[in-house]
Amino acid sequence: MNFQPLSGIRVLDFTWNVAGPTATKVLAALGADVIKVEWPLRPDPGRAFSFSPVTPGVFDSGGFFADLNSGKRSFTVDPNTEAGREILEEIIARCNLVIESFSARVMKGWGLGWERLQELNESLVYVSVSGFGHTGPHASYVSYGPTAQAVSGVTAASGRPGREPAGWGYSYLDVMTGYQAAFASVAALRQQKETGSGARVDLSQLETGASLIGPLLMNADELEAQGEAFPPGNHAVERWGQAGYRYEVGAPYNVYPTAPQGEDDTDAFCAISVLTDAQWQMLAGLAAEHGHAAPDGLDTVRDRIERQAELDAWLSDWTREVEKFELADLLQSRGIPAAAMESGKDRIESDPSLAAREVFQATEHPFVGVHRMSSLPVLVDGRPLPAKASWPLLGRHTDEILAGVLGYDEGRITDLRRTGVTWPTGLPRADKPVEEVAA
Amino acid sequence: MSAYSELPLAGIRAIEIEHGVAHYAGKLLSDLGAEVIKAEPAGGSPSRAAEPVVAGRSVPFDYYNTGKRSVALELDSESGRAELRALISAADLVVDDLSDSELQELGLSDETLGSLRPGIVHLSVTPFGASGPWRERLGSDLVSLAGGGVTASTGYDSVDGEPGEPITPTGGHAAHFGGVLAATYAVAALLAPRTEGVLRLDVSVHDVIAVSTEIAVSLWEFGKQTVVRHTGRHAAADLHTPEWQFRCADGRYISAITLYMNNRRFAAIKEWFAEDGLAHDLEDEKFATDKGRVENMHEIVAVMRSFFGGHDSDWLFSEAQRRQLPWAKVQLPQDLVDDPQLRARDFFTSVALPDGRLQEIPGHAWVGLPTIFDVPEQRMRAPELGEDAEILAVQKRS
Repeated sequence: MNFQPLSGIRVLDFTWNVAGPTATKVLAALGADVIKVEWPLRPDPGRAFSFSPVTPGVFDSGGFFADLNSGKRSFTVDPNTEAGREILEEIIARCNLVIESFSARVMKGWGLGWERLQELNESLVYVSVSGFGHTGPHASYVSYGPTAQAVSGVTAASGRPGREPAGWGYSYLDVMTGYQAAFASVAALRQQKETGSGARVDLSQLETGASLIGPLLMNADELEAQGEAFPPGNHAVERWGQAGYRYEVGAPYNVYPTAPQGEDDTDAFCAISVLTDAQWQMLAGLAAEHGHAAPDGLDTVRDRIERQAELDAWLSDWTREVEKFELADLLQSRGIPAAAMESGKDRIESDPSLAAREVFQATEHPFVGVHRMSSLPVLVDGRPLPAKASWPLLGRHTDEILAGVLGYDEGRITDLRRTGVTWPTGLPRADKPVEEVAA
Repeated sequence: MSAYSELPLAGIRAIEIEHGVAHYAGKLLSDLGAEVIKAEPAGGSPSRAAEPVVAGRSVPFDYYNTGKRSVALELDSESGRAELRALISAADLVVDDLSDSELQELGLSDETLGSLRPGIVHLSVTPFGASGPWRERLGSDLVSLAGGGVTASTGYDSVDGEPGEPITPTGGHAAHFGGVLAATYAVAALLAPRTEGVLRLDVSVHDVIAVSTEIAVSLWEFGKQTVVRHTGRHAAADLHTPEWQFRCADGRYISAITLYMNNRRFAAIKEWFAEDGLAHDLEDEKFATDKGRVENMHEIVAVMRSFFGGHDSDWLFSEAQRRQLPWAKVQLPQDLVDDPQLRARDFFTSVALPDGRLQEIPGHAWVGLPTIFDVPEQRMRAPELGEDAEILAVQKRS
């Protein structure tokens, strides 16, 4: 039996880029009917990520976009027309949840502020996703993921002692705000089901980031005193007695250079975390078996942290001789926490656990082709959730939603299209045949 | 009590058994009103000792266990395991981060769980999942973040044509990745609960991180390219990209993203930089279009670096935002404690500890859904070990 607990839940999705679409990908994968609303003259900019400039399917050929938006339906309407706004209002009256990621003024500008939404549907859940939230002195501040990461503290919590912040190599807070929005959504949907009440959820990336370093904020004075010893690179802590924010203490604890996997591999590392004395004894024994006897006098975690620079150098001499997956296999076989530092390529091509658990699933997209798309990662009763081979090709589901959700007849649907309400007059559509798109 | 019953997850009872991975899922459930009971060994959960410990209290334990209940059980004895089974028989959900062998030792097979409470949800959050070749492997914060893919994308600029040093962010994020999706799955499952057997939700932290690094996987799958790390900005296929993190006059940093520098933003930058006499450096025709700016961004960045180096970070942040530029100061934890936006939105809540001291607890990603922090009569702080033993007595009576 397929796990689709949100089956019967309808979501009107105005979100763009990464954060909001991450939330609605989760909801769609759990069974919700997610209706992604756009106007083709100003579509989700995410459609342009890694798109093919070839004319056919120009809106629909982005691989990253396809992955992030699988399982949703695409609805096109011009919200700046009277007819368009009436259609949106009719859909809102028949939805469980509306989600958007605009700045605070956009929905109000369309006459669809929270007060109007409640008039249309008193049990509606309305989730907004923004950088700073819709209230407070910085509500008008503008941001992208990296901006929010900087202001919320997660950038500063990443780096090597004494160097500038390394930050995050991608928009962590786009992903995590999306996940937090999915969680808040299902919680509000439960309340809606139990009590019939609606909810207004105002999600900010600032608060997402700050909540993800909660203990650092609770101990900010101590961190200030640490100065440049914080953050500690890849170590658990930089020096003995320092408060660490991985919530575990040990050494060796780092990513170590390993033998390349091939001639063009210039980026091979293995993460190793020794968290107990027993793990240390095991590691020292293993390294000695391979001709790298450990330095003496390192029986306590305090000794090991005080001499971790020396330990890192010693361990690297051995790890450079071994390929990263092989090294992780060997260490884990002796009960030492370790993992190859995985690139995107490693995760797709070389990781036996991701393969066995079918985290990436070959799925056919009419324009992108057959590719390994990200599933929603969970095994339910031992089985992965199947990736949904349905895609929000721009405007592909407008007519079926007008008919199926709103009960419009053929003539009315044709009129809306002809008068430029549901598709811009004169704009060509993707020229793949519908049959092929539907396959 | 009436206010408590209005919390979104009121009425859900969860039993939590954790070693530092599943605690975040439990916190999310607890803060929205689920009754989360930590079933701890008689000596206490190991996470009670997680560093940093300040004035005898583990800071992460206090943060990740807000509002939870605690019972201490002699799990090595049959009587203790019987008490655990009694707790489970009255629960909707078991959330744990135990391996299958640890569950077997506690006598908690899925078959047992389903017979104790038909329809129960078993939410398992473990480093590598409960199936697959790595199911018995050990994790750590570093191992999960590096294995899952965060570290390969994060770190410093390349040196001499070779990828630069990889860095793994601190903050305990491995548990956050697994926990937030796990909590989402559990609440979704309880929207349409089963009436018999057990629903097993097996969440692997490794799997979640593997799909949570934006383009790193897609770039390989669709373009057969691998990302290279860059200091304070996104990893990219290119070895060199324009920087967007700059040192300010006060020694602090500003994150000034140079992507999406459209005509309006570029005009705002020129107008602002003119105050320091730097605008003429940006007047060249080659900067007049989006395409031209992208192609010549290294030159624009040189001007930005010079401008930022002459001003303090706080002023740069507020002035940039006044001009609708999506830039921000790289704030430290001590800045966040005084952040006017967080304060205006009541992000922090003071809770009373058992010894009478007050502790400021950071809040949530969202505003609007009521949490236990909004309900004065609710016990918000983390529980003392075994503090809620009366739950066991009630179980015995019923």
